[in-house]
Amino acid sequence: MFLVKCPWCGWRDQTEFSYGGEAHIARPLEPGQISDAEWGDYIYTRRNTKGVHAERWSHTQGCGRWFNALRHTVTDVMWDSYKMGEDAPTPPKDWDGMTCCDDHKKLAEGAKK
Amino acid sequence: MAKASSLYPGITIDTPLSGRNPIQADGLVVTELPFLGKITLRGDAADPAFAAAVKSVLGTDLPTQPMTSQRVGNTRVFWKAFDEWLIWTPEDAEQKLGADLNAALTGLRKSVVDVSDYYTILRIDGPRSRDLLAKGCVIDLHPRAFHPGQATGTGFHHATIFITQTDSDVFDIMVRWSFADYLWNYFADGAREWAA
Amino acid sequence: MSQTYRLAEKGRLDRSQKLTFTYDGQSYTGYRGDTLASALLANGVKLVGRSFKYHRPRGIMSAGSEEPNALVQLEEGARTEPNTRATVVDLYDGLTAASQNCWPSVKFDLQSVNQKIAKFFPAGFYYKTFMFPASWWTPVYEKIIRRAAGLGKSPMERDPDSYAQKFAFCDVLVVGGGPAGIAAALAAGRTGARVILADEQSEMGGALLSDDALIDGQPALDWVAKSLAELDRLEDVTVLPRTTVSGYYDYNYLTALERVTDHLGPQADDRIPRQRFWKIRAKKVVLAQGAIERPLVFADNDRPGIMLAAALRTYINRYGVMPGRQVVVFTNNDSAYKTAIDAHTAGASVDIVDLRENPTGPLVKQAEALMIRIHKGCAVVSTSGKHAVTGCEIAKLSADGKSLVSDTTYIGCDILANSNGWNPSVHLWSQARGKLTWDTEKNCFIPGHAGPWLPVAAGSGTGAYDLGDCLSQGFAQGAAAAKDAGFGSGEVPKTPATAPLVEGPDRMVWTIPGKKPLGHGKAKHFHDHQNDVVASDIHLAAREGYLSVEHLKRYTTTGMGTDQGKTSNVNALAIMAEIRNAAIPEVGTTTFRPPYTPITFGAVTGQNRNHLFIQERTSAMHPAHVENGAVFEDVGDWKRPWYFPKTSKSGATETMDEAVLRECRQVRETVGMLDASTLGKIDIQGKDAAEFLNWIYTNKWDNLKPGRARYGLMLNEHGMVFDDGVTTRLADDHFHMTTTTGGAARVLGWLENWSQTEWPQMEVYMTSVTEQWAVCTITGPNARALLADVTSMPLDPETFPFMAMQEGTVAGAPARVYRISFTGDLAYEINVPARYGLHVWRALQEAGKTHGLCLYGTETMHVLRAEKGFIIVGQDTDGTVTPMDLDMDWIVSKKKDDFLGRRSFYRTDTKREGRKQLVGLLTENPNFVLPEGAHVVEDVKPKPPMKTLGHVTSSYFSPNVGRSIALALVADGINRKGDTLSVPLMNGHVEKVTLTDTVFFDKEGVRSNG
Repeated sequence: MFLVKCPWCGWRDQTEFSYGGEAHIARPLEPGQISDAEWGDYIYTRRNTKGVHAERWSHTQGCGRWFNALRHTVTDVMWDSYKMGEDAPTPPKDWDGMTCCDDHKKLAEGAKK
Repeated sequence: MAKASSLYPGITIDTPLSGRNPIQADGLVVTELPFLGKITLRGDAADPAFAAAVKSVLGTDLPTQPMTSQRVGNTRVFWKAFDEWLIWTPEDAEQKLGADLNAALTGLRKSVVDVSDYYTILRIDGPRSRDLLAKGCVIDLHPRAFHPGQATGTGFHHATIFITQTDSDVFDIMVRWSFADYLWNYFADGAREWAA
Repeated sequence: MSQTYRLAEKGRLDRSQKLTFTYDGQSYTGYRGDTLASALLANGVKLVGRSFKYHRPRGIMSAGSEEPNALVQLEEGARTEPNTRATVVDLYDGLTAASQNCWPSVKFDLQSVNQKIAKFFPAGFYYKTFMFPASWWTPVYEKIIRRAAGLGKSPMERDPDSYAQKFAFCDVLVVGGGPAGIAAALAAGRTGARVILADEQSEMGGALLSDDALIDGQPALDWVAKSLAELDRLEDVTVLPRTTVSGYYDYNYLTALERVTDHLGPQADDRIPRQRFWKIRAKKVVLAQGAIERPLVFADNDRPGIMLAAALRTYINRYGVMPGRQVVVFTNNDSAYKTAIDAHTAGASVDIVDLRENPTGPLVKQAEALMIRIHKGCAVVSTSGKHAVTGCEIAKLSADGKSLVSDTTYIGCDILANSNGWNPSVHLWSQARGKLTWDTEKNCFIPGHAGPWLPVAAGSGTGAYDLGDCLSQGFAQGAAAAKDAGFGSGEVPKTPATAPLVEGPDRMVWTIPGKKPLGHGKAKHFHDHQNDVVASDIHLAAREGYLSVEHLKRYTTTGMGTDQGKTSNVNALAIMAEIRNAAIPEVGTTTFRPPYTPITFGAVTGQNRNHLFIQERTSAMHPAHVENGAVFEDVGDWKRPWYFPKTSKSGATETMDEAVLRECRQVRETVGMLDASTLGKIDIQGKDAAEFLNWIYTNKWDNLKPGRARYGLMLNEHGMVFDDGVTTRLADDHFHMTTTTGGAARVLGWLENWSQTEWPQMEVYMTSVTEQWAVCTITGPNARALLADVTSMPLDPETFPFMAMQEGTVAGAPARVYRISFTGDLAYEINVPARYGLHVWRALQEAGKTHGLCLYGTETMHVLRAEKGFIIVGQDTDGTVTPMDLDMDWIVSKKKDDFLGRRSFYRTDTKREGRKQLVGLLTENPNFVLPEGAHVVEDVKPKPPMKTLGHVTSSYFSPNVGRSIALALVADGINRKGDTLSVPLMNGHVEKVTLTDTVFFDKEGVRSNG
């Protein structure tokens, strides 16, 4: 039972959310102009990432809004979430899925002090 | 509570919990707040015209911080999402408020919907209120984590609820009509261990 | 019997409270503060059960939750609970327990013949014996195995107790209430952090409860009491005794079982939950669960009276029981010397058998000074005694520990305490995906690299056995955890003074040789007492190639009992490591899984049972339905009236078939009323609302006039139908959509998804209004006349035509009336705010008396719509059906360039010929009603398999058509209309069917005009 970070409501119990699959799959603008294979890719083909995965979540029981998030599929740790239309945040290159962005912020603050 | 309508003579009106006595236990009373007006308002809070028009009707700014609310007299305005608010009014005040909002917001991006009968509200009052809610609520209601005026949608086992803290030990919980019986029974069963 | 083995004075018992209990039919006494195990030992009861496989006599091995042997059947009747560990059952007055897994009695058990034929029961016995034929598994083998290998018996009656759940949040959760845990809770609690301190025991103190240690020169338990008093004063600290933290899940979500009234027994106030299941979300977790002693693996090490050394010490010091007169302490380390010294002090005759040639620690010196006999470099190589140990033989061990180098010497004993060192309790650490490290000095696994949730460990659970170390670790970790959670400065309280622990090194001999080589002769070296697994089984597994720890576990069943191998796993790994000549960490560890100790189903269920198991959703009119005698159908979680059976004056009640036939006829003859409140309803507003609907539905919406309604089909992007309904334009920028009952949430989610994520620029807002509106549907030739009685709205067809909506009042209540029809007859769907629903329903029922009104339910609704060939999404479609498959091309706009699902129409598979299409079926025998789901075939064969062309989706007897009717999805069905096919049934009957149009009644469609 992990926690999901709603960009508005903050970290909340997973049971309040619905999962919406891989993020950033845009609907083809002119479906009539593309091949069956391209349309099939849009409908069916999804990454099965081991590691950092951009995915869609909806805070169904809370504010009801869709957003995107980066989750590490090995540890289920969510790095951060971001609103629809925003660019994905960038976790450190060597992110091992053991900490989230808020942990890193805290560490950085600690280092400043 | 079933009663005579004040708007339409000769008509008996009901709530999903008509006829229930309050749930009473040591440090705990659960009652229904029947027939409150409830309006879902949607729009673009970043649009100054929208914000001003709403303020002209409500007499207050819309809450724009997540999980917050405003109170004007007996009307309460809750942040529901960045583009959605929930308004609770006294009984029978929702029609006028809805009409006023629609009039003030003409031409703007908006939606005003009367949902007074979609939901009812249960009030949990008493020092045991947090203990009762902890039997199913997945959000932290400790005084440091949640305080009067805060509000949010969440779950209570199978029910989706909207919860707000009204006073130090008072919580109001909005639940769909068809889930009110379930939630009420859950509270009644959960309160048994503190039965007087 | 009168507690012959009870010590005077000693123990943490309330001797003023004498408790009577019954074990195996015999009455005994004990005291408040006893466990069932300590009370049994006080009364000289050592034999408490029979083992799982060989039915060997077994006794009490431990004094805690790790107990593998002493499993008892607690209580009788509805409250009976199997496999209860006697070592964790707090004694209460009137307790009743019985030994299990024995017949007819624990002393004379017929299945103990298993141990005589033990050589036929090696590891993997079940896999090898009960293998072929596979068809025998369920009827034959499973029954044999279940009878032979069962543990206790499940209760057969309803559980009379209540259970609760609690969702809790804290800054610091401390697991384990020993010295380290109490110190951690103090350090964290003093910062103002919210702290939960949980311990499985009935009182806090952990190992200190069995010890005589001093803290700051005072008895350690004084420090415990003082600390608990301080914690009690801290408002945000919760101390939970009798609470086992059972699982450690993602994001510091931990579960804990609090046994609220178990220690009071069935007499407890039944309003109080018997157990409470905590679901704790912690910011930081401190694991201070202590360590579990490891037994030595020696010949016949399972006789009653053979127990762990520290357990014996607990019985002496905490429970005031010296369960024997002659004690042998068999050890590889110094810690067991404390047991020997305390047993000696308690008056027993004590022999120490020490594997080490030259033990030198201060405890050894102390034992020598007390003149306790110490047999150095020796091992116990056999034991004797039928129902309890009566003696043992010892011998000198070779330097490599593999053989005996002296003759044996017999020592009489009635207690044989043994210790093979300690295993830190790393279960939760491991559940939290932390790594384990093998400590080569302490010979145990200790917490290594922490998992993502970064718990910290303190105390003997880290391998630190010195009291001062436990306290200082606890203070340090508690303070650090609070700081990490945002409380305090991290300053560590000063550790009080304690005497340092000085111990000599251990000697590891993982299998103690017996008098004969392992696996020869009758002697058995048990490493897993609960599942009856012996060292020679591990050798057998290795010989047969089951070398990996996961294979070893499954092949031998090591560690797979209810104790999850708390005393056995490390011994098994070490023995396998020796066989493979590998280091222990190379063999690996098995996965630790929740729960740490067994938990009841009741606690997991909590209040979610009976009427709270699942919500029963009802509409505003439900009280009227109950009054009208409705029989209800579950539609999702809604309770909808299914049909309304009538009872005649003679008292006979209609059957379902009779009621449905009557309702079907009467709706078409006069008028019927249905509660349609459960239909999903969505309010859609915004200047782009019509454009949005153009994308969502297959047909066009921008040309719909305000006040008018239209039917629509919704497709997913695969081009398949997933919902349908009627949507009405209330104003240019305002629509009222209806969905199927089951699709309400799904459709709203679908609209929100597209609106929020793909087309945020479209000005449109959706709001669910499903339960805002109660809906009375009246339909039938008299519907207009009935409605006219309760409304002043103009109802003439010109002013209020089909597929139109009017606002007004009905029976005095504000209403929106939609003239739409799901029966094909004249119909009005009267929508009123739910508070008026019951009133309007009753008013219509009253007014209907003069119009021949009949109430009807969902079954009649289904028949009437099938007569008209109206589909039900999810019944006549299954996610593989396009509008064209439904012969509904007419609803697919040819003018729109795009809408959701459109592109998929042109995929090869979607446009191919031979797809299954919806058709009507008429049976050869007009009275025969086909079962829904039956296959439609062309060539009937004597038995399956047959090539199926499709299946029946809807099937009813229609009184209005005067025969049975059915809908079916059949390959190339539209082209096959007029053909005759067959429906072969399970019972051998083959019904010939003719494919027809889907409309069976009022083909011209004139009745909706009334």
